[in-house]
Amino acid sequence: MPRRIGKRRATALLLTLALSMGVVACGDDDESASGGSGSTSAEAGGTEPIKTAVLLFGKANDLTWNTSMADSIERTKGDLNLDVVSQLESVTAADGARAMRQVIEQGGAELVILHASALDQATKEVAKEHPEVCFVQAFGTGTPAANTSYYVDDATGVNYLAGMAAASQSKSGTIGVVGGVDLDEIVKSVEAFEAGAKAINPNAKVLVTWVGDFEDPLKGKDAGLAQITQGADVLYAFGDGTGLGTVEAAKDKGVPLIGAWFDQYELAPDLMVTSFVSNWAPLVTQVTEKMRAEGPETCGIGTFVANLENTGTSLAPFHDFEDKIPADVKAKIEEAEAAIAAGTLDPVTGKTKA
Amino acid sequence: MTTGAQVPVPPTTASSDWRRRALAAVSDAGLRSRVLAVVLALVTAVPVVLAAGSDPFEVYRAMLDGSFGSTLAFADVLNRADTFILLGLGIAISIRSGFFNVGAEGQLWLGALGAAVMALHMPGPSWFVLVAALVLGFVFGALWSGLVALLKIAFGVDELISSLMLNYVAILLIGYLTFGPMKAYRAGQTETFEDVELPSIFGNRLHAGFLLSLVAVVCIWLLLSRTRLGYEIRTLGASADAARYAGIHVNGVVMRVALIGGGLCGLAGANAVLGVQHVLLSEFSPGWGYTAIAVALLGGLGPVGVLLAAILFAALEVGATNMQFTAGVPASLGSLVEGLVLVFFLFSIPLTLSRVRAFLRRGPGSAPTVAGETD
Repeated sequence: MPRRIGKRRATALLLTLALSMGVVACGDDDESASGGSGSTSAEAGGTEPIKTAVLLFGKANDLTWNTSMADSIERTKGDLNLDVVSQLESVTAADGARAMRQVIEQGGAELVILHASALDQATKEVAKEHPEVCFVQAFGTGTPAANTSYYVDDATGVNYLAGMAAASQSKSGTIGVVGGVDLDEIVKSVEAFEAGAKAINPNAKVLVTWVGDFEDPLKGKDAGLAQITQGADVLYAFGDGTGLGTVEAAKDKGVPLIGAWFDQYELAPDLMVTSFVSNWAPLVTQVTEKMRAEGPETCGIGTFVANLENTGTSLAPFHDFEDKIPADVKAKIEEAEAAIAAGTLDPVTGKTKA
Repeated sequence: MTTGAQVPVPPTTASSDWRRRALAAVSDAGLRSRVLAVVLALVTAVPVVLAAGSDPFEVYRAMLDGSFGSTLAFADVLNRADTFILLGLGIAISIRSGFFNVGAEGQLWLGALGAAVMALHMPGPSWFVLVAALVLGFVFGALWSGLVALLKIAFGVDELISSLMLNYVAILLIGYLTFGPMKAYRAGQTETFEDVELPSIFGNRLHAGFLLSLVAVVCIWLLLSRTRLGYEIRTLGASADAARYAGIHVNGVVMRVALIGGGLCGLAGANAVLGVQHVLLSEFSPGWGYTAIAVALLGGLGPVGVLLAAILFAALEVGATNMQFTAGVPASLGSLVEGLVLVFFLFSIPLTLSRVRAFLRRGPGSAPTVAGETD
């Protein structure tokens, strides 16, 4: 899921163009624009701001994986007193090490967040060169170094809930899931989604298409249209950049849909039932606190697993669907959420555990 | 464009004819038009910078600082330039012979694969594995390009099409391997090979890949200007008929050029995984093989020109990162300038063509002198 392939496709490009002005505008005046963060950084008083750099594989405004991190930083930087010295976009695996060294040596970054699994190897190397800097790496492999934290997400619980919401909006009982690449974690999430759908409608049929690419909106759209032809009347756009095309397919046919990684309500206000939302604020908070307490050399917190319990994953508000989802379904969703958190419901199989 | 699909040995068809004319125009365009293209591109980017709400002066200073501002920054530029140099040379030598190979991207990926296979599985001392990995990278790139030449020679398949298509095959092949048989830790990457590393030189983070690419520049310069094959390549590039008339074994030259050019591109791939990445990823290259076509053209298809153009493009990309975090401009501005350089350069070519025509009409005496490039 965090594997972004550097191809810029038409839809992603258009979206980027449409949003770039806004981002450029807020890039210059982080202090003045958000009055809230300005005042809270004073409250954090006493502590020195931590110079932070965020390296993203895609665009910060993709309203999915990359936005999930950019937004989490934006929300927490005031309280945690983070001075975001740079947020680099479209960092490729090939350029990762160089970009990290640049933000550290020229930008003075003390905390570097690498929001792309492909930067794993580069992070290992640069973290060794710079023990005085704290690193946070998405989907890191092996054992993290003392100055490095890894993070992954366990999105099965939230996908179970998303499946329940999706099934409640399907009249035909057929739901289409368009995924990017069938990585193990994502396949598991889709299984949980299916289990959730069956909890609401035991006869629900879930069509799954793997497009084979995380950044191909055109294929994402074609796959979505094909599933609608096969009877799907709710779509799940679970392919990151590819998912943006699936959103287009749903809009073309007026079919309700579920978004992924970020609250994608804005993309299709009339049709977005809910989204699976990633929230990295708890991660950033934990790392920053350890870094403040013990210094960057031993700031590592091991591997952070985002899930429903620690609010690392959550279901977005239903927005316009607030009234369209039956009250009993809402109650069941809340029940399931509690059961998953309590460990009595296995979201992947949908079976209750003793 | 037309393809001479059924013709076993393609004679000078209409399509290869316009390609040869374009080739002549590119290599004849003067140094002045190249520099002008770069300057115009930097100027044209100014409104974009202004639209993004930044100060152009600040932006370009950040770019310059980030690429030539310190020894470390310049080392980063040269570490990036070596990929472009090797690719640019490989492309230049192919195009010089009239073999319009746009398969550098695929050859780059295959070279990276060759190097990774050797680095992962070859036993022995690390210097030996390193050399073996570079050699296999060269060989894999050469074979991938040789396949294109074989298709052209045996079946008359247009190399422009086959080499472009093979790029996708190469990328998908590495995708399959890194998600399948060679997968380690996680989908999309192989085991890492940090022990087999190109050594750094000058006690700096500059790695030996840059030296390697300088050696390649000298070798290609010698090859083109001092050897029989170089003469044959240039003759063939000028006119296939003339080459045949001069008794040159056209197919033999095409095959040798394909092997050398593809090998250089493969070496670029080996160099990138052994010098910088130390792992083979499913997203190994962000399209360097295509950027390098621009490098080769801007470099006038000559070794020295390619060297300079490669350093320019590398500086634009490395500087763009610095620009992004000091001036708050998207790093894509670097790519934008790269694109503009090429556009302006290509615009300058019709101008050059008209000069050539004037030369033919009025004779050498009245032709305006164009600062030619030495290579």
